[in-house]
Amino acid sequence: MQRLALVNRSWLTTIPLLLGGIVVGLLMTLRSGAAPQTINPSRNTAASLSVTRVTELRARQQSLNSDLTRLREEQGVLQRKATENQGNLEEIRTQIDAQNQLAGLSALRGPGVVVTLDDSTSSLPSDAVDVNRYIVHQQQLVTLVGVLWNTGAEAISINEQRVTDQTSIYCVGSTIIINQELLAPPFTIRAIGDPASLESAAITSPLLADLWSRQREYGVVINVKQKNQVQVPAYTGPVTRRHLVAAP
Amino acid sequence: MTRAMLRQSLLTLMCVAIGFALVTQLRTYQSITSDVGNLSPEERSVIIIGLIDRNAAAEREIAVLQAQNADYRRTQLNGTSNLDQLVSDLTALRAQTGAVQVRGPGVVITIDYALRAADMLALINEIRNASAEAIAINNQRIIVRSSIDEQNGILLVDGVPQAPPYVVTALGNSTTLMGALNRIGGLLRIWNEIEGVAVNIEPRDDLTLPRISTMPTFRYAQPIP
Repeated sequence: MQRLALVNRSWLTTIPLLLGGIVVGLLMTLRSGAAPQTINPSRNTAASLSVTRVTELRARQQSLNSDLTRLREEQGVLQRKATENQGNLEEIRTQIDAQNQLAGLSALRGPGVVVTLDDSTSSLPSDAVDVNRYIVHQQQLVTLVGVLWNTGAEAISINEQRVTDQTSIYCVGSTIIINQELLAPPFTIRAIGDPASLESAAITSPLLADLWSRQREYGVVINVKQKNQVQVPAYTGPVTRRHLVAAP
Repeated sequence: MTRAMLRQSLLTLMCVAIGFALVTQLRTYQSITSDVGNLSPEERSVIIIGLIDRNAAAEREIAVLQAQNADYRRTQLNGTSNLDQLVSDLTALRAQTGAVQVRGPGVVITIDYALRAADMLALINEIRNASAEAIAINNQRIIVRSSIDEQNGILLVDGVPQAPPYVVTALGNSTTLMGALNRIGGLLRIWNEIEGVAVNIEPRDDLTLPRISTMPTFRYAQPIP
């Protein structure tokens, strides 16, 4: 399969800044001879332009995701058709199905837990020293997901995003991005596995002490519930892996 | 040099850019889009560029899937066997799930410091975000379900105790990985500033990561028909 590497973010962040700087510099030079005018390029206009751009890109992303899902399902059907009633081929197809499950490409269900996390509902004291303590951060999500894997979780999703081996959880400003999809709180983490152990780990793991202290001290909302049935969706985005080869 | 400093650095890393805008944003997540409007121009460009990359990756994979599906149809029409296609699809999946060893360019990160589990989880998250395609810690392959835990302060990777220096290998475009992992404000930069923590990152042309020793199984999860 072809893969696309994400381009180095830090460089790409620098480039627009550089370009912006150059443009501003040029404008200043050009305008120096002109009569001073009160043209005040509004920050809001720039902001609403990029909000529009983000909205368009996200719409495109959703439509590409549904194409990917449709084509993957179609491939599954073709593979079944190709292997029906053919002993050795059926064995390969069974292996493909198993690998798809591990890769997060098929939706799964089973018993487990649902953990919900939300920013604090307490009103912020005027003397709040560290506002960061009142909201859910990438680090708490990363650690929580880690603790659930450590406790034998078999599949995990955050909101509608399946956690795969290429999934990262990161903040840009106040927005949390998972699988390159923009998410906002509340976060619903679904994990399939032994409900009692998963619940107990989510509540008592020393790795999550910081999260629970935020609940007690700052009102960050955490809820852990055992469930007889949890549904974890399939990963719907692209799988980017074009730099490696299997080396048997 | 204390653990507290290391932990502090993690805190700093989290949402570096939040700042003052946050106060007004608590509980005002009307929609993600309105959030985007509140970000700084730099943050917005990070989001826009990420989406552009992602959409381009999706388009490439769509083209590949269409070609693969057309191949399946053609072969089925000809009445020939789909064996080659099936094996090739299976191999690609097995590289992804850690069932086979994988080779490619990448980076080698060496950290001479007794990291805690939360630090290692943060590091793996950072490496995935840098668009790594496969990862190993001290030559142990890390897959989605790998366990990174600790017991009495000792780091355990899938139950196996690990000691520093930790050598973390990541496959992918080595220039991209180097740039993203070395970026200002990045986890490794922050760690490197801490006295007593030695971090080294080097690009490599050809790395081999082992397969996982035991394939995980599913006891609780079932496919949704």
